[in-house]
Amino acid sequence: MLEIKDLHVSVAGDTEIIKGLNLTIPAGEVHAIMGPNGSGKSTLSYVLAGRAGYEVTQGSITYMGQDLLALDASERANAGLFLAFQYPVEIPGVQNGYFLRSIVNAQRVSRGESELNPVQFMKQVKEVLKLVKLEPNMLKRSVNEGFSGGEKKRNEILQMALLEPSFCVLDETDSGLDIDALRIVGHGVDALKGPERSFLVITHYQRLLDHVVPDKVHVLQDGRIIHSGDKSLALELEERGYEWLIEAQS
Amino acid sequence: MSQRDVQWGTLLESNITPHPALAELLNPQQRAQAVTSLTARDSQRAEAWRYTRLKGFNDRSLYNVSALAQATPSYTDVSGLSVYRISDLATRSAHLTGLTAEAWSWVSQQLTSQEPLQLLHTLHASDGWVVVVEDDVQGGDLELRHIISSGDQTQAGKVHLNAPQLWVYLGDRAQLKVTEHFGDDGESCSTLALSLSGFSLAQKSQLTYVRAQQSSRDLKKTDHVHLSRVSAQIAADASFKMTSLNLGSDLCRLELDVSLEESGAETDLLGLYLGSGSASIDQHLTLRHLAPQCVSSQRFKGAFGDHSKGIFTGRVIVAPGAHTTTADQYNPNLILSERAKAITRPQLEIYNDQVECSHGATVGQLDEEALFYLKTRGLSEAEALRALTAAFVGEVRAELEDSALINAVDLGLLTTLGLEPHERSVGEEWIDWEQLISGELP
Repeated sequence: MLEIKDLHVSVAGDTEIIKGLNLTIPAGEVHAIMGPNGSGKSTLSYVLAGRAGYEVTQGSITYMGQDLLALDASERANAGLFLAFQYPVEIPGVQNGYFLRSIVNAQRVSRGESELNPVQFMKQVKEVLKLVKLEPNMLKRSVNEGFSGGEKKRNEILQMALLEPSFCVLDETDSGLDIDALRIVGHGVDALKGPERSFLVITHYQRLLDHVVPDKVHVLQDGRIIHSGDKSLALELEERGYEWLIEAQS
Repeated sequence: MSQRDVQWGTLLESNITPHPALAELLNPQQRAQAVTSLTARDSQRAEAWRYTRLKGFNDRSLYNVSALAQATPSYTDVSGLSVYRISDLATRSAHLTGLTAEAWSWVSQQLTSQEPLQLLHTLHASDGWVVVVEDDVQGGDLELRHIISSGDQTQAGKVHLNAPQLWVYLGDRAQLKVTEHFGDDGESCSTLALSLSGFSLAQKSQLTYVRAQQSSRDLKKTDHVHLSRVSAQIAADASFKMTSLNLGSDLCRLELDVSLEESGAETDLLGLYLGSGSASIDQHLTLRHLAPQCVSSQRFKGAFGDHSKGIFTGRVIVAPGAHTTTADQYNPNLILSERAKAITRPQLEIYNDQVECSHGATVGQLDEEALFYLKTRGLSEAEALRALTAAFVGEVRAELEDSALINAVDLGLLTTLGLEPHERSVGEEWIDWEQLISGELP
């Protein structure tokens, strides 16, 4: 589904953050990326989503047979790529209900489907609200404005569930969550797993991986993947930290 | 006139004859005096008009359509709500028209004010309206549509000038809603609106005033200039609530002069002003707290695209005796292109220390983070821009009840953004979430 080859990414002119990253994620699989602060995890998620200011100097990203880097952020979303933000953005004045219906309809129109009217949309959103245990009243609030950390992350998973993307990037979705919120988010993500949907879970800790069990775990260090393993690697990292891997590298 | 006045140019050349009935008020001496006053050097006035230069517009030939274009107000038939033509008032004695001496004296006083826009208006006005609402009369609703049209083909190349005026006098505890629309018929003629609107609110009266100014979208072929002055004098425990929309023109100046004259008077002033092309949009506010326990709020929002320019001057004067004053001023500006500009000038003059005044002025661009966030959900750049701009003006939009005005705001926003009307909108369609959530909708 996603193939990253020899990816090099620079920001702010010439600071290279990603330095030759290779990663292949087949359909239906969950891959986790773990790594210390500053290793390039968030940069990778932004590059996948198409954020301006990140320059790909070398390498390629192929998504479902097409050149991902040739698409802008909006086209990537409409092609089925979804990024759950580490820090979801507050948008004062844009009501969450309008926002959610607009993004669902924008993607439906891009696929040549008809738009959902408010009643059809409501029916759909009510199901998904239950999944992430959010109250319908959140539809009347401004997007993420005044939401607690947990509500923001659940709103991300809500969007993911509504948009039904093929490829989901979760950027530290577990950060700032208490145990209950983590369980809700983990359960929400788990419910969306399927044979045609892949996940890239970026995280510091293995606790989210208790809920969303990965097929593979990769360690990102200084812009490259230095080690890969199965789900037991996450447990080992929790136990031993990253030092032993970094030392083995040098 | 040997040399043209730098600021007013052809605006000082009036070739209209006022309605004969108005001769007493607007006689040749009065007009000559107005020209003298307008051309006199006055550094204070020069400062007040610093950002509105008429150069480029003031050398054109004018065609005064005030008599032809005079709008007739439509209003609810409420006993105690009377509408008079100024020309009728000037010919008959007050007791025959039913107008009280106080009301007429107030109107006459307004007509002789030395403010530049009043003086200019004196040169070009042919008539106007006086509205009186008697004590305790409520439920009135009055609307005026000042639309300039290009009827006479022989005058097609000239700037069509319309100089309407409206004076509203509210008795004790009276209530009224007034709406004024300013625009053109979309035909290709340049226009200049020179309007005056004045309000006198007696104690415990309430006035809601909505004014909307828009121009046809074809701003390239023709020029649209809008110069207007709104004044209000508010007595004890009375309330003046205004929503002002300047949604598009080449040159616009709104002068707003509000006096809170007796204790407990309140005013809530809400404004939206948009600029596109090379427009210059000037909002010039003077708010006078003259008595204790008065409350004022000014919220003026500006958004500017292309190489347009917005100017906000908010002068708040709190007099020595006006203790326990509450005055809030808020002027956020949104810059939508690299060449657009916004100038904001809060001017607080406070002469006593029992005052709660706040002011906040900002000039900024759309939040890049928010734009990216919306795009990662599948909205196009244009859709995302539009959603964020609509959110910026949401506060003003929410105050509007008239769907045609809401539509006008949305169209004005599109022009500001340089977008076409068919772009998808976020949050522009009205949805009753309450009903939807409770499952009451079919």
